[in-house]
Amino acid sequence: MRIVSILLISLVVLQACGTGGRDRPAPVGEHRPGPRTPAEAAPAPSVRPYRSGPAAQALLDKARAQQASGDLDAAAATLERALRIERRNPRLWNRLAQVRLAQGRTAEAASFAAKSNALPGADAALRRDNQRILAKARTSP
Amino acid sequence: MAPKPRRKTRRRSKTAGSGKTRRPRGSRRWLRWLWLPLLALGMLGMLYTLYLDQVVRVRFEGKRWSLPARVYARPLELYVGLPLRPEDLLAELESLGYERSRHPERPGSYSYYKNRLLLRTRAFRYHDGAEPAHYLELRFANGTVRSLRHAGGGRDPALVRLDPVLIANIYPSHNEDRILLRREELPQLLVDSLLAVEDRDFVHHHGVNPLAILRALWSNIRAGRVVQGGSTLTQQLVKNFYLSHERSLLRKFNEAIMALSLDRRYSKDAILEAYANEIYLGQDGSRAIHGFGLASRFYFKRALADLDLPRVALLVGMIKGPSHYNPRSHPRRAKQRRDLVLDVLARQGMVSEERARRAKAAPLGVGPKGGRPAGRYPAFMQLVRQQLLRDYREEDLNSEGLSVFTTLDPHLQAAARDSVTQRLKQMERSARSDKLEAAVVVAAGDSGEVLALVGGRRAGYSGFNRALDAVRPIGSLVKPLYYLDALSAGYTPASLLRDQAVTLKGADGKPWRPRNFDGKTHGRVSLHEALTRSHNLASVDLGMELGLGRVIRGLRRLGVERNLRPLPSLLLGALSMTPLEVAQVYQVLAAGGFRAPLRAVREVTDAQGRPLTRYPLAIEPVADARAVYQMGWMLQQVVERGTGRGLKAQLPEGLRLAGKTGTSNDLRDSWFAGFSDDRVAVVWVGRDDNAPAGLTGAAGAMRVWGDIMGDARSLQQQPPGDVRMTWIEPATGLLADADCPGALQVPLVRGTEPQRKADCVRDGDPVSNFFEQFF
Repeated sequence: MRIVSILLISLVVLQACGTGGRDRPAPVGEHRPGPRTPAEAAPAPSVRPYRSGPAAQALLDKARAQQASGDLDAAAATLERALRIERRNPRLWNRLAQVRLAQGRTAEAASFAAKSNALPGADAALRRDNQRILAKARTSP
Repeated sequence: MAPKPRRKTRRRSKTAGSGKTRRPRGSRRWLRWLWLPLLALGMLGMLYTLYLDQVVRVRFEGKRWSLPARVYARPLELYVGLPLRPEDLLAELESLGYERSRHPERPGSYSYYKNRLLLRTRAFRYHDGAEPAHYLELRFANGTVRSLRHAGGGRDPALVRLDPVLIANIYPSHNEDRILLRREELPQLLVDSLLAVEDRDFVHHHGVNPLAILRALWSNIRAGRVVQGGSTLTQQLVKNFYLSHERSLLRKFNEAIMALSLDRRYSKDAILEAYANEIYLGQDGSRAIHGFGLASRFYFKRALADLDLPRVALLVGMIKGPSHYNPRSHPRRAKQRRDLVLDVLARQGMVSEERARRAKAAPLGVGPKGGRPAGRYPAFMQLVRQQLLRDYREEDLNSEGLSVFTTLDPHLQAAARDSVTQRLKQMERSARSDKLEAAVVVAAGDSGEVLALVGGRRAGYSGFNRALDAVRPIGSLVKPLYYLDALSAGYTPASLLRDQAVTLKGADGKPWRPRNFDGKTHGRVSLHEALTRSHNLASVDLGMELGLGRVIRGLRRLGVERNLRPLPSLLLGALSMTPLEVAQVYQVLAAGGFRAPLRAVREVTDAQGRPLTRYPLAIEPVADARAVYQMGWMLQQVVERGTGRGLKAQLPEGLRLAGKTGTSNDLRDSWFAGFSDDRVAVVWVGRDDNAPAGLTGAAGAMRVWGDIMGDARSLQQQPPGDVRMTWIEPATGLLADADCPGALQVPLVRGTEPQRKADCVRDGDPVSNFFEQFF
């Protein structure tokens, strides 16, 4: 019986130790200094991915064609037009980031990629691509 | 005088008749003296003609007309799922001058019956290409577009862009305006009518037609008054174009010479084209209507190419006297004149008798006088100008005929303007104040595009633009700005602040004792509560803990550029900004921490539609997205439970918005700033003389804000990745659970949750409670 109690107590103790590394409790209300990690490094839980509506999709297709034919400014304009319709569409922001990157406008590309990442509905593939763009922007002068 | 000795041969007398004396020989010398002045006169005349010829050439070929820049609102984009009420679309079509009919047949017309809209859109040339004309069928349901089809069959379009509403022209100082048409674009019917009525021999004469003059003279004598003019089109062009309107013999003479010159130098087509674009056809307030293109729009709300016979006849008839034959003010006269023109056309065989008869039976067909595009949005136009003048000179804007595509949403602008008008009146009654003024700025949250701008309560009045230029203390609007910074400095919405009396060093070293609005102190309050209820003392506590230096740096990062004095009063809003500047800062909060410069212009094209400049979307991360999310949540609480809760009565059920009230000292300035999922809006109410308006932010500006945001999109609830809604006991800032009384969920970044649990949670779990005391 005693062994069982000791075991049980140990288990409880271990459990208590397990829940969120207890330090000496900090005084309530005092700020804990600490730099925030940049938003782009934060991983996101899986969220229902965003689905583009037909209007945005039509403009995405048009922008892709424009980009393919080298008219990057036009592609950017088309994507901006799409963003007025679906401002929370992470794919649109990502695509805009790609266009800016292709134009060598890396700072802008990074901003758009960060924006895309910050939106819920960005699936894993999109996030990876955004990270790729951010990494590229960091290394570029 | 003694007679000279006669010669033997008889000379024939120079003078006719007998008995007249011969002209004395000395007179030849006199004649000789006459030669010189005659020669001089002749030379002068030649020089004068040459001079007039030069004038003709220079004026005609140089910059002929000053074309104002045309300024457009944002185009409405139609797609399935667009939140759009049918009445709002109809209002847009009305502004566009679309004609409502039973069966829309021409571009620019529609029919609407039982939620079904048949629409023939007009083609339009945008910066990124041409949008063709469409024949569409739209259906609505629940305030959205439910279906969008090509009425003529074929695959449903995914997206259709309407032509944009013209909101203003940027005029040169002499207020001229044109819709330029090429010779090819002049309908044959118009040309035929014009020549038939005004200048039958246009093609053949050389600028002046003596026969026509004689003909006119004859008709006028017969009629006993002036019924016909003998001026050719060329002469009329010269009159309209070069010379002032004084009618003297000298003018007539100059006119004739210049007409001959014109005819010699330029083709009949060129002259006809110039005439069609120059002819004066009426007045719209201080704006002169020149040219058939503009006149067609002005009188009939149609393009010239879309005019039928009776309307063309009326226009041609008006040439003789646009005010005298103004169809709006003198419809009977106008009709008589039009019918006369139709008779002439029939008589000359241009149209059949039958057609003329039918045309005479038709009504004048004049459209209602549309609002002048210039002058309806002066406050917004000031912002447009400001932006354009960074890249264009004033002269270019006035005279090159540019097309400027702006971000204005006329529907939202109207809502803002109406709200200001109504609410200020109400406020003046209830607050027993008067001379209230207001300013409103509304922008798209993510892109910074300015959707509406109100500079004062008098709509259409171009004067002091309070939205751009009224610099006012922002009061509590400053709090979210450094609270945001605190969230990146280790604080959370659950952190506890001290809301207690404090004495600090103010300006000039004098002691400064801030007070709460209700005069009370509240002890320990959570950060979110302090913001929601706008506790001054807790805010000062927070700000001083952060340090004024850090607070100022944070404000700068958010885009505050004004002079900032590092005084504790800064924490309560001893900081003056314009409504536009406030909107810029709150835009960052509305866009997840990504700053987008507020702008009013999207693109500019030249008179031919070729793209000139595009102002692209530009964003920049300036604040941590997670902190911004937390701030957004707290600002939602302001509206839900805090100083902004009065909004709920105004807003539709379930609409989630975020905002902050702001009141400056002595109730001089009443502010409200906040955002929805799609828009950010700032409202200021106060008095120009800076006397107290007697209104808090909630009593004043918030009312207008609520009107504007009533149809905005609800804020989305999805937090960024590592932010979790966590149960907290507000009084202690400790972890709680759903069963704890007074507990609520606040968004916390993973890893910043309080370490300890609240008592109410302890009470439930004695075993772990027991062991907790050892750790």
